[in-house]
Amino acid sequence: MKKSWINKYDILILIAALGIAVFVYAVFAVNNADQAAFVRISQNGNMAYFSLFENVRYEVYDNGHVNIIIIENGMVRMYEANCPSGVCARHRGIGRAGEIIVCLPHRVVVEVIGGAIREIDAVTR
Amino acid sequence: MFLDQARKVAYLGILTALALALAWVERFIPLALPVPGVKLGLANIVTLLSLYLLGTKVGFWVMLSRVLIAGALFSGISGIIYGLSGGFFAYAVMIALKSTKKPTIIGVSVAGAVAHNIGQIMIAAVIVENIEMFRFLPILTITGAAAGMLTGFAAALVYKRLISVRFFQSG
Repeated sequence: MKKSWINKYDILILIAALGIAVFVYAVFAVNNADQAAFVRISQNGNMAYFSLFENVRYEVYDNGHVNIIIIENGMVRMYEANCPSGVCARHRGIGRAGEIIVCLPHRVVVEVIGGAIREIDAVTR
Repeated sequence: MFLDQARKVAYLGILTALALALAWVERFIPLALPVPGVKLGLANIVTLLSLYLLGTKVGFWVMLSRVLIAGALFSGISGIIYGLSGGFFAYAVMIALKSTKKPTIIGVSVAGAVAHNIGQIMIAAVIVENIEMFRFLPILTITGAAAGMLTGFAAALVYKRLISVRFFQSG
């Protein structure tokens, strides 16, 4: 019973998994070097934009689904959600470009994004 | 021949029930990370055992039955959609790796767990219509690999014992 539990191919699989993680992380890190500036709240392809630096309480209602998002002091958080898992409401507040909170059951995505005012205007129009 | 079919159906039922019990138990294990999709995947122990002991076909039916029934019992339609997308992708990767006969059951389990999470992210990105879902891929790949090692090790332990007592021999 000296046979080991794993072999070199198992190790290769683990390294490959780690490689995927690092690669995808790097891709997002490079694409989000911008200064955090805006909050994008989207649901089912509908989007709303806010400045990260104004204090806002935004409520999303959809077929009994409720998500309350609060932007305060340069941070966004999911203040309340009546989704079954509650994963989104447990997420800490976010304030850096590229950070994201997702309420999967309600399909609500809250993102902090960088960029200038002009770009945002172009999108909302 | 008849007996063999009957045994297969019986094993399929036992293993599906076992997978459902594990899926149920898992709901009571709190995981601290506020990331959707992080889980232990205890039911994958049963998928692996089915695949290794009873073959590709029976393993597939055990996985499919478990995802459909667990979804109906615990999480609803969205759970079934995420479960199926993760389940199919993971199962395809696992049978491909197993057929190479190179990695052990633990390596196959890790690859399956990671594939499961990637499959779910792909479906989630389509459902919420937001490519940013892939932002969760690094953390889900790492938690998936860790969970895959645990479930793979558990499956390896059970597999060795069941093989030594010839529990699942047909005929």
